[in-house]
Amino acid sequence: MTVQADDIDLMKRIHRHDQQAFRLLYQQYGKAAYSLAYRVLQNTTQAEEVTQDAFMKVWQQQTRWDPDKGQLRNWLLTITHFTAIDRLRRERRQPNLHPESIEDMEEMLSSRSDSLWQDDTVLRMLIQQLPAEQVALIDLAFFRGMSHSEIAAETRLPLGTVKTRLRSGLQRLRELWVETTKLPTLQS
Amino acid sequence: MSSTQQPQPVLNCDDLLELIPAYAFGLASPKEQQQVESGLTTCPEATAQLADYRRMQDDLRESVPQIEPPPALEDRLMAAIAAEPPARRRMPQVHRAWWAAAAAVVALVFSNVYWISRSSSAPPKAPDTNSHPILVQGDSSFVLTSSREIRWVRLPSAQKNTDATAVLMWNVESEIGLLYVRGFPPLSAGKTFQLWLTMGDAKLSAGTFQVDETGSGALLFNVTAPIDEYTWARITEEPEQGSSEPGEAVVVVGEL
Repeated sequence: MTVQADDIDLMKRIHRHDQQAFRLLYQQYGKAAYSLAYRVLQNTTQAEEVTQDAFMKVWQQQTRWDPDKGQLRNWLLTITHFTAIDRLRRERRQPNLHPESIEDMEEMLSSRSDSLWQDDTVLRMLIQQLPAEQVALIDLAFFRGMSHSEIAAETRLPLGTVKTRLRSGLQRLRELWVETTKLPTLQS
Repeated sequence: MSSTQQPQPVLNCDDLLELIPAYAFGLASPKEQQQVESGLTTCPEATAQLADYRRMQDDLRESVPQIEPPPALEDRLMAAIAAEPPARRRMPQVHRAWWAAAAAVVALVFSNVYWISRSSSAPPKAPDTNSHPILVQGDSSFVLTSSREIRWVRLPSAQKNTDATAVLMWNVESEIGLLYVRGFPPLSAGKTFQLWLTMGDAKLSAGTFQVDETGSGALLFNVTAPIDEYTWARITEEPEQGSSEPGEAVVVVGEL
């Protein structure tokens, strides 16, 4: 069976309340989910709670996976990501990010690069090609779930500047990502 | 009506492309979201870029350093599910009247469907003593058991500016379900509506139906597996004899 067929079978069993299937789901994807939750929250206790909340949403069938729309792994990580962002917003705090300026933030992200990106990933390589200020803004938007105005307040940049730089950064990152993922040698 | 609900002018493709990054990352304002959603059908490049951003986001989520979770987390999670069986969507109290109306429409739409309450003197099949009304169409029957065992889902319109909606109802672990639709557009000559259920990669036809002059209609359908096992439902407009695969003209679509 392919991974997708295995995943479809696994989710069917979970819908039939098969606890062993649920354990298998966690064993396959729990580490990736926990790692993502930790990346967002920067706190082990909260990362555990968010990972548990995300998997409980699957068990309780609050949302259903559609194989037509993508892989089970990506769906689970999206649930985990949104659950972690919700947790951050609920607590109205930003973990370990209290820089005085955008420059401080750039320096912090640069110095902590190893703890923010997995080695040898395409995205890490691509991110390093962007200006540090754009990386900082993308990080706040994607991994902290901040709005334009929240980012402007956090970085003390004008709102218009945040919008322009973030758009440029995302457009450039997409261009680099598309170019790279079309190269067979880098796809693996 | 607030200003955010007013229809927004459709942007040209270049302007739309400028909004796609913010839209993809959840940063667009409500007005911008509406503009993007209205314009996507006319700008294939925007649709393609949006798909790129979605895949790139998947990669971003995979690019974080991998950390082993505490071993105790698995045990806590398993204890949590053991204490809380999976909750399924149940028919809330507020929907019972609506359900009754839907069932009544079924009786009106289908000449060979009979709506028989428990007080009826001559049900075609002996209902369970705990059962509620029963619907019969040909060899199929749909019996409302207790509300705890009824599942239902609303399928929203797949198109802008239409009121089309549908509700699917079925009993737990049953292969027989009831579809009720309203606000559907009138059918062109030689056309019919067709219900599809998705299981894995397969989209299976669950039957065809017509609607009346008010756009209301119903279908009692019988499929090969328990409806619980299907993941999505959609209704498309198809040639009168029905199709073997769903076409592009989707009226409503939703997750089960």
